[in-house]
Amino acid sequence: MATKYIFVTGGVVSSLGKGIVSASLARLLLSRGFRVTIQKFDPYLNIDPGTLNPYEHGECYVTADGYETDLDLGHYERFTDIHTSRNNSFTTGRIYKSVIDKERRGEYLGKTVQIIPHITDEIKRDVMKLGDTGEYDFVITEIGGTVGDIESTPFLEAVRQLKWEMGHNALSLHLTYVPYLGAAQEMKTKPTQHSVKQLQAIGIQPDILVLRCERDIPAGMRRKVAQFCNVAPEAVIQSVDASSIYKVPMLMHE
Amino acid sequence: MLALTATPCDRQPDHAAWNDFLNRLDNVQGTVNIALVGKYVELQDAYKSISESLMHSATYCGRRLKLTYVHSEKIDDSNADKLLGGMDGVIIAPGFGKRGIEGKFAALKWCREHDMPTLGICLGMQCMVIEYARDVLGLTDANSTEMNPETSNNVIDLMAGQKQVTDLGGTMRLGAYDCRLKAGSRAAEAYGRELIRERHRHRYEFNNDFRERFEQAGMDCVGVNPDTGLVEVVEVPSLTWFVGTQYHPEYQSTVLNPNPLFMAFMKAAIKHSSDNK
Repeated sequence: MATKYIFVTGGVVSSLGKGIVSASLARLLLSRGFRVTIQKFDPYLNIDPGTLNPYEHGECYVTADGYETDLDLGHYERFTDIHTSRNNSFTTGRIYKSVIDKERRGEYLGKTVQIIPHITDEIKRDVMKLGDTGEYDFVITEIGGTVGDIESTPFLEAVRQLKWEMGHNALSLHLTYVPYLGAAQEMKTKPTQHSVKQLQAIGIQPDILVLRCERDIPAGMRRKVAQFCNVAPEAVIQSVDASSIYKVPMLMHE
Repeated sequence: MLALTATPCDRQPDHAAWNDFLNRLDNVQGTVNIALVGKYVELQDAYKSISESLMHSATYCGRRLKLTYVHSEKIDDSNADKLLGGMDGVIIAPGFGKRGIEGKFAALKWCREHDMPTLGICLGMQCMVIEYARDVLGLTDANSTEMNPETSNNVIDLMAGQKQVTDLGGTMRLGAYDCRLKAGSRAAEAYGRELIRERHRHRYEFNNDFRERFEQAGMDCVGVNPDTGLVEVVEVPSLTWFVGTQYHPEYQSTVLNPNPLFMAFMKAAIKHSSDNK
């Protein structure tokens, strides 16, 4: 079968655990016998996290082929037992460097080099690189940062184009946060609705919504989210805080 | 997922191995107390792979991991007993630079003198070597040239290939390399084989000029890169479990395949705790 692409984005707040959700999804696909890999795009301008102080983004994870990567790659390997490589971790800095190096070599044949199409095309190539090996049934691509950040805009435009080009071979999973307001004793879905609106304004209609929450979200509320966000009701999934990150795949399975 | 797979239900999921781990996690009996000595302890994500590796191995040993982070700038000879006394095992963490290094020496001295199961990783292994040189070999000014470029006893030195390097990014010795382990060593016992492959991230290495003196004084170089002779693993065979690795075993520990060295460290820690009851 043609390689399928799943794009994972996050909204509302950062640190929602996109890495864990991506890794859990990969685990579930693996358990059904599919060949899966996960890659991450980070929005910062450092070429790689190797020179970053650990206080900034936590540990620097090293792949077998000797690339210094984001710590989420560690989660990917711990969940999937599959080695990652330099093709599984990209930053805005690395993508710009590659484009600028190509410009210096004259590869753009005198064209004006721009974010669209040159940066977005570079991103698209890096997404397809893993799928083009023919080694994977699924490529999960995690977009770092939060929807609405200036830094992640080129990535989201690339995702929009890839979804348009690939049709039913690509889908978008958006992770949001549903806060519980203690004083009102209520869960609030408005931040999720706003986040999805922002994604839609960029031209991406999420196919799956994963709602991070501290307690169970009633079925009626999930249905409301589905209706307002233009998503199938069965594609709105909750992800309740778990006592161990390793329980998340099974909770998502349920 | 329905949109993506043509026939969504034709493959039944096999969760057996994963659920086995979760069952173990839910049925752990008792606690194992591990201390991690490092300088980035304020942000626990700085040691994510290590804490996860410890958690995998503790779970497979049937224990709940209680991991205590000890700031390397806040431990010295006067309080090491208080900070490490109740522990079952100690990890000396990787890192770079001078800050907190004296604390790692104090912790290592205490662990060595109290036969505490200890695993030193990367800079932690280098500190193990320096502390041993100072306190056992009597080379009081022993150091790494990273900390003191002028030291006459440069037991840890810049790798030859690093001397011309000026850029900081992406220029360390990175990724997986082979390591041959000495038969009968703790490390070889842990892996159950003699040729292993683990991942690296460093510029400095054990100075082989000192190897004979260390081995005469009781610290053996039991893991060596077969191509370059670079020392990958040191241990003190007269102690129960005192092992340092230049490589990072934590980069290769997964839920379904816990790293063998962490498993061996954990077993030693659990044995230490039951021996001391």
